[in-house]
Amino acid sequence: MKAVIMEIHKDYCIVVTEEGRFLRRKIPSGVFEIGDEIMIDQEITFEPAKTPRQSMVGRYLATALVVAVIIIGAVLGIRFIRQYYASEGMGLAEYETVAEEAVGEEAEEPQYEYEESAEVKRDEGEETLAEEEEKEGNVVYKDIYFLDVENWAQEKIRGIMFSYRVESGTVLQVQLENISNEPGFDGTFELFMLKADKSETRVIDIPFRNFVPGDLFEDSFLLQEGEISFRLEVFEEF
Amino acid sequence: MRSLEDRIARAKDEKDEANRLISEFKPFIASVVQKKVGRFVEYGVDEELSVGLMAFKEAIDSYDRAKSKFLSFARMVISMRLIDYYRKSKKERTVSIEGSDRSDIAADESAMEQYMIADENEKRILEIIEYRNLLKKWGISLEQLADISPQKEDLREQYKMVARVIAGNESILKALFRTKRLPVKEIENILSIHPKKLERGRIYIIAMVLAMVAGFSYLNISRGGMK
Repeated sequence: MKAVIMEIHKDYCIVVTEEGRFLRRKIPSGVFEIGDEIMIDQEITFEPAKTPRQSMVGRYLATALVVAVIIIGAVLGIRFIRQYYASEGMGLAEYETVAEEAVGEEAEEPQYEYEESAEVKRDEGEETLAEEEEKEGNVVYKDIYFLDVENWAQEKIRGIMFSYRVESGTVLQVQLENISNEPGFDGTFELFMLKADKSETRVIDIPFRNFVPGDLFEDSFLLQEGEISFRLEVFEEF
Repeated sequence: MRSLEDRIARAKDEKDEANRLISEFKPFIASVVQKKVGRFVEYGVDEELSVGLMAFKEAIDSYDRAKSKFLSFARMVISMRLIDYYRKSKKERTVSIEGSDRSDIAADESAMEQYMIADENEKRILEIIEYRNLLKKWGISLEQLADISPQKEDLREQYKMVARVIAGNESILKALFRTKRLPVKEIENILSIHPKKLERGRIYIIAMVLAMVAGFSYLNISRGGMK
């Protein structure tokens, strides 16, 4: 893709592409002038443009998936509680009361507590499925970012401000701040580190449990040789 | 709008106009110097830039519009003064100037002819400088545009569509220039775009409007980067 150099800085220049995008690009010092045309990499698109019909279908599918996850979760939760208290020899009335409370608190229960019951292990297949669904959640955001930015680049994703920059060309600094007014975020930010040939070198997982408004997460990661970009995928648990 | 050559003619007599030109063309001067010395240079740090500034002023004073385009002429003067500077200081560290003598001067003369032919490139540089100045008046920098420029093509096209509507509608355009704010309601009446979306793309839309209104011929930002 052709681009025109609009401004030259020490380690990079700002170009405007044929498509009207303003980008930062690394250029060798003292080679180019303002106004020069250069060739830059083609933009990598992960998601083809959807027709309105496809978008509608996607929304219905996402809604159906969310409903299915809730129903499966509730059914498994109730079954587990029933089995657990049955094994403890609890009375029916007592069991009903505890079961209702437990279903209400289900979302806050840490996953490992469910594994304490020997009875639950009988339904191992079902539980593994439920675990996988809970872990993966829904991919709510997917995009690619290049590691050639010295200044903070920002993107607001599901009420969370995702910022990153590369310091001295070797350290990837990441910041995540919940700037929404909504309840806490549960999910994972996954950074798939990519080489120039799009192959993945590693995955950086940043999981969140109840990441409430005002919370700030900061971390730095040493870049590995050949990493030039990353694909950000955000999974949200419902 | 006055041409650059008109402004140069005026700058010969008016010191303020000369200073304005030097200030506006600082990025151009730096890019010429950088290309000549083969490394990044910074104002206030590298002496070569002072040489470049003085050479640019000299170019203003000695420019004859009948002979060449100003930027080609200024580029040549800057190159020659840098050569003089290196001869005087006897520095031998640059790539392009190292060992330069008659052959370099001849190369510069030849380059000058090439630049005169490459009229289009020169006009594009002028339009970039003009565009930067326009953006500056609105408090927008190219760095900012690089930060907020939409990645998704469909969103970019939507914003360009908004910019076209604004640029093509006199009353909306006047409202924008008067208030320096996007007339969201008026745009909503024409295009069904959510106000929040408009607000998010405010800077990019304004940048596109400015490019369209300026009517650049060689730097067609709203349709792409180049002619």
